Amino acid sequence: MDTVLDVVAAAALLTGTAFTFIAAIGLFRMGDVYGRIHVATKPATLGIALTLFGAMLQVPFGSMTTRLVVALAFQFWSIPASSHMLGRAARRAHVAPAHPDVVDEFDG
Amino acid sequence: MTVVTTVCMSVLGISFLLVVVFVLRARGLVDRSLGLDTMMSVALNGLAVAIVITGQADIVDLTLLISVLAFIGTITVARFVERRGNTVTGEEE
Repeated sequence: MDTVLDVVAAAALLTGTAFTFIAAIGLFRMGDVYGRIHVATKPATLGIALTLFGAMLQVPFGSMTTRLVVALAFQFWSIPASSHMLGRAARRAHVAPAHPDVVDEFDG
Repeated sequence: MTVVTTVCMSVLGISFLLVVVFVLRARGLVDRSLGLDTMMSVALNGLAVAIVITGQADIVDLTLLISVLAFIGTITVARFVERRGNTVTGEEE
């Protein structure tokens, strides 16, 4: 049983780390602010979820598990909220998207 | 497990350096705040790996603290950008 838990936790940790690395690379690859908000939000959330899940499997069951679950739930709540607010702020501050030929009827 | 945690910490270190470079080169407040938010995500991942390495209960509280700090910081900058625009005072767009 311990071996199974170890393997699952190791896989979760490695996958989550890979997703975080993808988020860091994507910050340089994306062409505009909105693409960067996208890439800094989705892979980072998945990476955090996977690594925290891997950590949950490795700690003794009890108060530590509970606190890790709370941290994970807070991430799922706060990351969409903060990234949405960033995108809305960029939109209202007239930050141009990468494709200016798209019809855009919002005048701010 | 030691090999796994070592690999994870190395990749996370490289990611952290990449994000620091991004924050330093970023133009505009939104990019910079986004980079700092990603930095907090990388730090949170590092804390999760550190929990696996050491098994200490203290680090678990730090994950909660870091997530709250990242959320409040990003939201504050977003409100500021919404009112004042995307440029820092004195910086060329």
